[in-house]
Amino acid sequence: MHFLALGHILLAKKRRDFHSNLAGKRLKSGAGCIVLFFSLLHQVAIAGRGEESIFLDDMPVVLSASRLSQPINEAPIAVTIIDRQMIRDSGAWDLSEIFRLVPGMYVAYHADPYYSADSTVAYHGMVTTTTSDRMQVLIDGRSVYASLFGGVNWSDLPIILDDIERIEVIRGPDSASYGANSYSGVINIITRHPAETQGKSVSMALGNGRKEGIFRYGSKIGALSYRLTASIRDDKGEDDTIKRPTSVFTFWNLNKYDNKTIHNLNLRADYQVNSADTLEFQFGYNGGPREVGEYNNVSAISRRAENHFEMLHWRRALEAGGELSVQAFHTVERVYARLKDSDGVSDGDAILRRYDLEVQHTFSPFKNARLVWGGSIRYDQTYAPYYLGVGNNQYLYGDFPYHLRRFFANLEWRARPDLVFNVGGMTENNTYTGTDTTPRIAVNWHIQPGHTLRLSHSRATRSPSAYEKVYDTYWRSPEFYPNLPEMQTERVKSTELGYIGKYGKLDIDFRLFYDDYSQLIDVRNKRSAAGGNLNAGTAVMRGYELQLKAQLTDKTRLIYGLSGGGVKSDNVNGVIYSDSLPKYNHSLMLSHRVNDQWSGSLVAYQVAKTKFNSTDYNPRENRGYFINGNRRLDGKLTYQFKLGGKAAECSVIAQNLADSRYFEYRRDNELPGRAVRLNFRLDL
Amino acid sequence: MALIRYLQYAGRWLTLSLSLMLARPCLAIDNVTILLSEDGPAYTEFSTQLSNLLTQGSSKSTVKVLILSAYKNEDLPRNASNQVLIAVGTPAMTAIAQKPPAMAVMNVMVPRNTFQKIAKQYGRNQDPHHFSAIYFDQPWSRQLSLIRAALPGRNRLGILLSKESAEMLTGLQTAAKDTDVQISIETVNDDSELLPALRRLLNMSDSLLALPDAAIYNRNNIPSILLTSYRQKVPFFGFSASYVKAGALAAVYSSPAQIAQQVAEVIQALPSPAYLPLPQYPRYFSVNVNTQVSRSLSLEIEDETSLMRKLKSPTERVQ
Repeated sequence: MHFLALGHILLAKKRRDFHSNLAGKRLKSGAGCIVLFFSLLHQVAIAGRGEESIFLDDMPVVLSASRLSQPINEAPIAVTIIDRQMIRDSGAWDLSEIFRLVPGMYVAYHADPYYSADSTVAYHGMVTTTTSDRMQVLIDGRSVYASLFGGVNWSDLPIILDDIERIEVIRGPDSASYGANSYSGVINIITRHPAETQGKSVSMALGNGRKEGIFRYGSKIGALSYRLTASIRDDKGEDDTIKRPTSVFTFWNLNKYDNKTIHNLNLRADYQVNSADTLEFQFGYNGGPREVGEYNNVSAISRRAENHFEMLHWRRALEAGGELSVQAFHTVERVYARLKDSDGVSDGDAILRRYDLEVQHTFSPFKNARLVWGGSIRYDQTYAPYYLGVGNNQYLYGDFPYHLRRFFANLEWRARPDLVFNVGGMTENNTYTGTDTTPRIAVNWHIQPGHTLRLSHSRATRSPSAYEKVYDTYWRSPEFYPNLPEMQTERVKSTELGYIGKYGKLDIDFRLFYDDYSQLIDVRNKRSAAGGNLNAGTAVMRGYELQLKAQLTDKTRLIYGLSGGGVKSDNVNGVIYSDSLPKYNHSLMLSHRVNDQWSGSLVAYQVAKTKFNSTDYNPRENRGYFINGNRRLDGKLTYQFKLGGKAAECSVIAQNLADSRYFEYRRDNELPGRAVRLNFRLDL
Repeated sequence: MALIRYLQYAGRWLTLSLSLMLARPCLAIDNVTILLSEDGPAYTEFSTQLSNLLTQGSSKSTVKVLILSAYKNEDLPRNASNQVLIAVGTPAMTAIAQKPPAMAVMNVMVPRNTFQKIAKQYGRNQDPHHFSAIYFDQPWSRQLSLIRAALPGRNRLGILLSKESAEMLTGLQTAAKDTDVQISIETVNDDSELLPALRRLLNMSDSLLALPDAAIYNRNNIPSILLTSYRQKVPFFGFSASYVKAGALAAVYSSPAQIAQQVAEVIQALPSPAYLPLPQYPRYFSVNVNTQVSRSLSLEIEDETSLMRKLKSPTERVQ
């Protein structure tokens, strides 16, 4: 090998010398020499290949199976697609805010005061923890669902809003495709391909307590395209005290510690190895000081996040639209914190690591059928002595290991042009709860062109977080309940009837759902342990969801979402599940482009009163309470122009335009009122 | 006197044409030389298919296959009356145009633009019956008919153009008028202009058609073009099967074997001093559709066979 390589280098050198000699004899001028040298090389390059090669060359397979999205009327489950335009029109500042546009989704601003001052994003209620651990979140197929408490710390994700191509929100359980924790739904974030983000761009935002600068550079070297995005965000969060508080309790007049500085650096490089193989590499970093804590009794003296990930994804396009894909990633989520609580100063460090490898093969086993199958292995390590120190233990040291192995398959069979069946499932084995299988069957019937009915039944699970597992071990220790059975996964059986219709320029997506939840976990409550079952919770959820997309004119788009329903539960051991789904939940987005310069959007949200488990200091000592319904209006006005021949854009964004006063998720989580910011963007 | 001379002339003409007519069934061309630009799979697919067609059945011509890299002028027979040289690909065409042999030359698997450029450059455009071609490109009318047939009612077509392909425009615009397709054009002179130009174009187009222009359509640009148009839900039409594999919605193209079929038919119909037909477009073609892409874009598209049927009927009338 070495000799060969050396030989090649020598040969190349010889060739180069030959060319320059030739050129030198022909032309005396040095500059001319170089010109001729390159033109010679150019000719050499062309002479070997005729101009007909453009008709004969293999082209790289760009839209391979995993890059093509399934149309919503063929998907085995309800999907809401949030595209770039929707993200922009929504005026969202934080990634979590975008999900208010999804029917059935509940978003609460900075609701968690303990681990990170982050938003709660929960689909279909039953929010028993601020981290809302019942939904899976993936970025380019990489699970960012955290091992410690479950759920996602939205501001800790190494992602920049403008790098997102689209978000697919799967409404309903989907363990059959995405495994455990895809329990109430799945959020699938897809970033832009670097081939689509070429050139330089800068963007700056300034508003009430908010500042941000973003720089992006995208370029191409032959078959390699890459993008680098860097940003600094300074978010002062809410004020320390609530202005014009609506609550009478002193504790609820004070706000949380939620200042954040976010440094983000993202790299994505896609290399087209040949016409069939592509390699994608991603690196992301998110770090910086983040406050946490509530009132004056718990707070962080210092706390900073240091997160990063690396991912490598190889795809090979196979015959007849098949694909083989191998993806490996490594994630580190780190928090360095000195915390102050009633016991004095504590060490609040936490380090979560994840290693994951997945292989997936797509092919057509027989006519009109497509099979996606594969498997994955994952290893999670959770180090969080302060947070895992449950009960009287102040600290629980150690890297808690968690192994996960999966095997999955889904067959999509087009039995008739108008009839598509999806049959599939996943079998997984993990350290905490052993082996589980979650199947799904769905049928999509295209009654007429533009009208589809979907009927599906599936099962899904949620496996306990490291925190819940530690609690489980704690309760089962000899000093408590040694006979307590080991904790199991949470389960749900879900049945759904959907209709997807097209009436001219109006798209309708309607569904009825019936979800039967069982083995719901509750570990914090001594009553659950004493009752002999940490999986005692059950609930039945029934409801509907409607989503409308209407292109009213070429320039006006309307997107509407409505959801409603109810939860029936015995609320075993006082855990609140009943009424945890708002009776209704609306969102309406109207965007209009006036001309080439001016465009604007208005977004209205309305949420009915909802019952939550108390996660604050609660003077009434009840386990749960209702949070009143709220209305909110956001708006954005954009002016596009040319600055020195370059595309520029200026926008003013106002969130909570009407400055309405209301609470989200907790009685002590009052919205900070109207937030206005200016945004300037220039494509260089 | 004049009358007698005229009669003599007419008689001679009559005997000549009679002898020609009689000569036809027993084949005038008995020696075919195929000169390949290289021995790549597409070129050998052509030569194998043509050799098979010419040596089978009633015709008994001898076929000789040469490769440009090992070719010398002496390899060609001197006696040229019943000879045809098939130059396959641009390098072979260029070599032959530079040192014209005695016999008639049929160029195949060459883009139309390249053929016209080379023929003009070496002064071979004066006598198209002895230096002719079957282009590799499809006629514009056929490509536009495919778009019309695949996407009825979506007649705003976007075209990305570089300086190199500007000359294709006139033919395209004429065909667009005939097929009632409305064309929007964006010019790209530099790679950095590609994405902005493409975005402007996508805003005003229902579909995009690729032109055989290597300045724009090459391996390095195709991911940007296909991904960006896919995101905007604007279907993309290519000009080869590999474009459809890569992610284009559909393409109409001719394979080397299909070109060989046409060449065989042309040769079998030739008179003895080879008098080639004028340069022409491919007669045989295929249509490929990427059903995964059409489904993902929620487009209801007819299958390949029925699209083929729709394309065949009008174009055959034109030819």
